[in-house]
Amino acid sequence: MTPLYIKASINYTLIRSRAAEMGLADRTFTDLIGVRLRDLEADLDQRAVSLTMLARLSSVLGVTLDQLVTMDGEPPPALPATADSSDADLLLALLLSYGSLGVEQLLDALNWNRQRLAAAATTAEAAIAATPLGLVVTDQRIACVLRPGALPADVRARLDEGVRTREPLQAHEISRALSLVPNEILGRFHDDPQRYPTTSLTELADRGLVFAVTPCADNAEQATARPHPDLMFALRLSDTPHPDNPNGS
Amino acid sequence: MADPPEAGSTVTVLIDADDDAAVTTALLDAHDPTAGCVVVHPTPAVSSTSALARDVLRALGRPIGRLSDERISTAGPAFKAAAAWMIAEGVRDLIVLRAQLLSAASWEQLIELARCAGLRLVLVRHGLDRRWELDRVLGEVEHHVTKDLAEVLPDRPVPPTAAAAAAAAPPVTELPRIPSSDVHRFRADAWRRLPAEDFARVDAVYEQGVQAACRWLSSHPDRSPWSESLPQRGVQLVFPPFLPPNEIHAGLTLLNSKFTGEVLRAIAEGLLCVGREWSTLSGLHRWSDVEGLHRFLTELVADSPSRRHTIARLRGAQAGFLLHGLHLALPANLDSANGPGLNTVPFTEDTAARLRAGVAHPVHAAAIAAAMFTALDPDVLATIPISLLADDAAVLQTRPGGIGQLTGTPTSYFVPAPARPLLLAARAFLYLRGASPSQRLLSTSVGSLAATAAVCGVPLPIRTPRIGPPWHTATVCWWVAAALHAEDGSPP
Repeated sequence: MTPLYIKASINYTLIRSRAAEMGLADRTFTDLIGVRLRDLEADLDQRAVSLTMLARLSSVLGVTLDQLVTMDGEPPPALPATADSSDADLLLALLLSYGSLGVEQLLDALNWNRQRLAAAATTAEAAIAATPLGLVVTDQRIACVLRPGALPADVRARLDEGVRTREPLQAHEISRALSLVPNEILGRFHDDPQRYPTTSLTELADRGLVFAVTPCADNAEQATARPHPDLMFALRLSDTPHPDNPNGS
Repeated sequence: MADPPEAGSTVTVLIDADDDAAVTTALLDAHDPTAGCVVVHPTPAVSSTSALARDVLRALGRPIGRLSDERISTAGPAFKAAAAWMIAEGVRDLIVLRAQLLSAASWEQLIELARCAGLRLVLVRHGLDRRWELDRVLGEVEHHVTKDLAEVLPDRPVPPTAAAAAAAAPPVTELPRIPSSDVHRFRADAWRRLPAEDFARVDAVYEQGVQAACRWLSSHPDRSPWSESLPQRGVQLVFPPFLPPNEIHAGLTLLNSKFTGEVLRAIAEGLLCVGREWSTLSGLHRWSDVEGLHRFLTELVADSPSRRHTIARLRGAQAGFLLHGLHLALPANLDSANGPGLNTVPFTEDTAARLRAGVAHPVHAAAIAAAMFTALDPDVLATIPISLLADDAAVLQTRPGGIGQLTGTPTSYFVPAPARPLLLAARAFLYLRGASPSQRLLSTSVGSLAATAAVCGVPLPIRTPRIGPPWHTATVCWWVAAALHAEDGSPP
């Protein structure tokens, strides 16, 4: 028997993965949907999720409402068929320059009506159909984004990792990480490893300086950790680094 | 009357009464500028002093075809250029054949040259002809007359030649693509990404950096704040971490002179809020010897054959610094940065030989050399005063306060050994012409860098943009932890 009250839940994991797959930065996502994803997630009862917002999510992410929630929804409105190709070129040029633009902003700047903008968007979408790019259009914004699958996740992960690891170490980070090294060397002679604030060690773990962050049983705000195998290898204090996982987990 | 000779300067007249060909041959055989002996065979039937100056420069191995372009074609500047080269290259003996055919003015120039450069001058008279005007010149200087050839022939040490040294050096090949990670990941990423053979090549260069850093730090007088006694450290932590250690030391001295140890401990505990969570920041101290650090870093990469070699050495040096409790924070963009080892051209003995063979003006040669090992913009090179070249020419500094530099902090460059004689010659030349230490070292020649480089057949580096400082000036160093190495470099 179908219950009278259905608890709707939104698949945030799917939303995040599709957004990452399409290369949508948080800012762009917020521009397109109208609300920050983290604010949505913080709304435990999900009372702030409107039908318009669901439609935007569906349209932007290219997923059905069934995939977003366990309810049917309206498909995104169909766009008119054709437009002048110069309008489409101009629209693409603007979107590649600015990422995403507000519909009203565009209409004001170009002195177009909504029909002309919709036609330009349709033509532009067709023009770039064979490329990794796609257009997403909501009632308020329009953006040029990557098509799902255009950028393999492993390639993106490698690039993201490269960008992250190129950030120079800060003195206070390496200072704390180095303070763990003597204990690592003399560990067998120490019964009680040095404790540090858990948040601090977590940040160092994110930077690839420590691993095996273990909250203390008697105080979760304190933790122990070991210097990262890569750091020990850099100092030539070990023969091998971590074999494959940069975060050592 | 000529000025008194410089220390070591002597004048000897060798009488070859029989005009013996064996004597001439023996003297010509003694010619070896690299061993400190130059033998001049004056051009026959030409008696002008400028012609003799050209003969001396040619005997030194300098080209004489462009002296007018270099503005040293007249006797005065040409003899000063010759004297400067002789001073810089350690020439001790100058032997002039057929001296009886020279004019009195030429003898006076040679004697002045010997005085300026501290040379042992040997004037060889072949035959018994005597000219009163030459005797008059000799009458005005202290001299010695001999017929003994052995007495004037210099000792001939046999140093290893540059060619032999170059032949012994193994050929250098480019490294494989290296990781862009900072020190904590660099070696591990290379290990993970590269085939074992390629990793071994990169790691060998990394090891050079580690060893160089450990050697330098082990012999450096600065010591880690962690090596001091606990009470001393406690008071020291009162001072802001951004203060250089010498200022902290001065403050400590003052406090120690005013308060007892017990009072100092109480002050430190109060200011440090003892009992609250320890802050890492309070344990950081800036490395004070910035000039020394510049020199070490630029020396480390001076002979680096490629950008990848330079980065691998620097990552290794960072690891060496960490082992001594120091964080050497290099700029994030080393892949695209400018400065020594990145966009400079290695300055070798072969490069120096090309410059010596291609240009006679000491300042022109020095300007090319400086451009090669610094990659600085000519406008920056032109501002360097003579006083910023170290006495032994091992370090060249630029004026403090340049774009991207901390005000008051000069930028130091290690001068590769083959380039030093060129810079020494430039300085000697300017001083011989009456310059003062505050005058500019290279300004007269930076305008002709490209032309001179083309003549010499040497490449000029891509200039470091004035808006982007050289990488080593953006490098900072902090004491961050107790050393993992003992002071002698051994593990703790």
